[in-house]
Amino acid sequence: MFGIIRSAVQARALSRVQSFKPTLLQVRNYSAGHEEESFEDFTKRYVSFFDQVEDLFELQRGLNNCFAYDLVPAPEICESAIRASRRVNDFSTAVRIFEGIKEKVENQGQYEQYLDALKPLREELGIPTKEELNA
Amino acid sequence: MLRNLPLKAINRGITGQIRQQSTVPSLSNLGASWKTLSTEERQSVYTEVVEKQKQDWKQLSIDEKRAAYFISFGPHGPRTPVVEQGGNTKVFVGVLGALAATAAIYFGVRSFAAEPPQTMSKEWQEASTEYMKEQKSNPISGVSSENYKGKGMVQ
Repeated sequence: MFGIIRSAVQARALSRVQSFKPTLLQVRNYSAGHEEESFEDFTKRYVSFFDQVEDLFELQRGLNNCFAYDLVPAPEICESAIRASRRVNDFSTAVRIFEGIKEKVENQGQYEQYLDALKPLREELGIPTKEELNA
Repeated sequence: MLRNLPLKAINRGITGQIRQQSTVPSLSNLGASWKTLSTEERQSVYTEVVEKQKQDWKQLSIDEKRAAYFISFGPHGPRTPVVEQGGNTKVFVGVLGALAATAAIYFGVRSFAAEPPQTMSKEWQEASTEYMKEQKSNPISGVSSENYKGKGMVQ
């Protein structure tokens, strides 16, 4: 029985030796080897992600990931995410998205710009901000 | 005690009926009433709110919107704030009170203490310094030495 195993191992080792070709240019898989994702690619990736979201967990998971980057998600992403929350019938997540934007932007002016950009959508779906809700 | 037992049972029965009649608590000011609700009532409120959200959001009343937001992200359960409203003031006042109490105990106990001995008075100590100088005690480095700058026996 051991004889069979030994011969099998030898055969495998032999094939490995034959297939090994030394090359001058070796590719090393360091972690720095990733390509940089541009802002547009990021936007495209998350818009397509939120467009296909079908449940609340997936939506909130995506939002957590998306808002964890060192950037403010573009209004297109926000629109897609808000439409996703309408699709999964969760009103509070839609309000929460605006809270997230407010946390991420640098100043009140930028937040106003986001609110202006998303105003048609907010009016279409009837989403107040948290401040309007508690006013 | 035994006489009161049946009465208690009746009372419990009545309140139980009242509770069963109002199965769905009102959504207005849910943030305040949430704590008082039982698990079943919370469940029924939650289901109601989830059902409401399936319709057009523009038709939801502000109370329903607030209730929906409160259930999802309101300050309850794991989102309860660590320090409650006015909690810092409470701690500050408590610390001040504790300090005042310790100060009262300290000075109160000391006020009952006996007078310090007469040798602790300044006059007595100055007089004993004078007496040491008169006696020329410790003449090399102490009280009676030349150019002495210490306090002598004065504490």
